[in-house]
Amino acid sequence: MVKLDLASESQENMSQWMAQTVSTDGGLYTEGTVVDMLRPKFISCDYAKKELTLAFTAEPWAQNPEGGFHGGMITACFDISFGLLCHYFAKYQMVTTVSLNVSFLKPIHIGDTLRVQVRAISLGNTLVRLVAEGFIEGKEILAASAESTFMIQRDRELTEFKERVLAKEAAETAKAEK
Amino acid sequence: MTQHFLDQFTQEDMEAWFREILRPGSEYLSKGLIPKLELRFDSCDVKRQELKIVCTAQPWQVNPEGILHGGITASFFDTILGVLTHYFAKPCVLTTTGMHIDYIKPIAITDTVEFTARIISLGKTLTTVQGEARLQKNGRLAANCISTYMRLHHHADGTPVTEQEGR
Repeated sequence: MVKLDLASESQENMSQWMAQTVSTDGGLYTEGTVVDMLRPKFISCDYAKKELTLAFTAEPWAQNPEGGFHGGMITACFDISFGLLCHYFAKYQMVTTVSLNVSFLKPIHIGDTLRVQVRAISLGNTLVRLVAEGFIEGKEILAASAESTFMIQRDRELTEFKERVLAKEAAETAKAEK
Repeated sequence: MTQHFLDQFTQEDMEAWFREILRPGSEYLSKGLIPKLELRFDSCDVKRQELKIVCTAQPWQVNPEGILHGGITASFFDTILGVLTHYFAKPCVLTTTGMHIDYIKPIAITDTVEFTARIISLGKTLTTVQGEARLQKNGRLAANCISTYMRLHHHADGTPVTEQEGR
């Protein structure tokens, strides 16, 4: 398991943590929930620039009555990407979306892959301000953009997630020692 | 928009239209995300250009913190505000151009939420709609939304909407 603590922060640690977290046994996402259904794929991240890129494929279950990717699900892709980037810097503290503003610029069709590039432009103790762009993969069309404010809840921890990760870490350490 | 434009909509017609499209098995609920949201029609008001829909948060809709995912709240708003706009814009197809959401209180799984959508500006091309999500158990405001929809002057099959049809 990749360590999630202040002392371990680096480009390599961030890349490994992001790749692990979006993987099916990463521990953060529960099977069968909306994040799992949207299947985020880790593309890249930049620790110094506080940037993260994920990709999402528009699947038939998430279509709107016109047959395109539902606006609410495009918003979910932004919210997931913002939240994951926040989590890396907030560690095991809970993060919540305070506000989210999305502009829908071009239609995204079922089968298209939406590449979401997010960046934290201000990282405070409590509030994090983020911006994002969503491109249609392959066509390089800017299909949507977003801005958001997240809150880091310093008094509340993601207890279940932390326990799962620490238990896995302990099991891996015990296995290695044997 | 003139008063004449709105006069053609009646309370009875509006209620019948929403009951029909939100009926289980209706064409609107036949595919994609919307049937999964399990929207329940509560009431509407043609004069106030308002619609109230009730929904219950489901286990698949949680985020890693165990509360309703922000993207699901956005999906409820986009669908409910969109369907209200569609009533006044039909037969034109609509597209969402922008959406701003303020998340005020967490929505827990199994919470029942009352979504109220109200048109605040109904133009020939752009419509602005305000939405509120309130927890049924205590009436508290959980989220607020402002969305803008653009009327595309064609039917769902791509054929142009005539001036008479488009009102």
